[in-house]
Amino acid sequence: MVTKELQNDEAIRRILSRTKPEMPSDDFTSRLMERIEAVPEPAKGWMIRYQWMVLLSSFAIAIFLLFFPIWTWFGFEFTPGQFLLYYAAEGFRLLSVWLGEALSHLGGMGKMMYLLPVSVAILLLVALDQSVKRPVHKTTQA
Amino acid sequence: MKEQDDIYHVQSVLAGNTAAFAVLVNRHKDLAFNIALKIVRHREDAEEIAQDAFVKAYQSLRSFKGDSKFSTWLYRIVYNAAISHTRKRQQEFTQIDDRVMSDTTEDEILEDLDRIETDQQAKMVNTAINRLLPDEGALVTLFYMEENSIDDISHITGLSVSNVKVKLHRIRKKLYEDLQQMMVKATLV
Repeated sequence: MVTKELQNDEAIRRILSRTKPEMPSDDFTSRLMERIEAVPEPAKGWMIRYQWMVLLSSFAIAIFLLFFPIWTWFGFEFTPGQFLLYYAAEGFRLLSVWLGEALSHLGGMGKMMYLLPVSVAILLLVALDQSVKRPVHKTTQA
Repeated sequence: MKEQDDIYHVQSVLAGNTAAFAVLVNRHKDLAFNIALKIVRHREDAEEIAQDAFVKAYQSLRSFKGDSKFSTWLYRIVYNAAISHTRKRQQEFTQIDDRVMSDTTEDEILEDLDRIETDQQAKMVNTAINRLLPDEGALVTLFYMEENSIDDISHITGLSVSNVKVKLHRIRKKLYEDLQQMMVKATLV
């Protein structure tokens, strides 16, 4: 049955080969590219369009907020430099405590510690697989 | 190889090289136009539909994920645009079911065709194709003329694989019967 279908398909193709496919007009591509050139780029979201302004504004606001509590509502008596140093030291202290606790938990895992490098290896393999799947093409100048 | 070339040019366009899109247009414009033409059966409309489809493809290029061939993705846009056009125009395609069953085989039809002038052969085959429904005409182009796989055609048309196979079977039968009928009329003249 399948062979008969293949034979029929081949016969139809030979019949249809008596006719030639139509061609679009000669200036099809040039007219199309003129339209393409006139097409505006898809509108980007405002955060992408003004991304540098957003970043700079956020940075400025963050710096301002670091100093603002000192002068008004919170009644701190720190100078700006002291405030930053205090919180940097406090942050470092908290990070050290957390790291110490985390490492002591890891030490208590015993044989289960094996899972940690295995997990890292699996993650790396997945990342490698994903990067290999994407075709890498070098762009060349026209 | 051609598929990888298409992806290369797609990435080039996305990187800002608009001129690379012309390469994709030149490569796929013929089939895009023919798909549209088989559906709408009007040359100027088919060109406009094909052009609109290419513009839409350009604007939506970022949404092309690469999980199908670029050509399959593009022709799907063309196919859908052409089908929408026929619905908007409320084009009616009536089929005159006056086909006559015959025992003649396809090979015999080929032999009969060979006896007729080349121009007349093309005219007969085109008439037979034009008697098909619009989507059937597109399937003829995709499967028989351009030799796309059933899977690709399924992606382009949105029909299931089994649906495509059933339609192709019906198309074969219709073409075969129409050509046979035309042969009979031609020999009577």
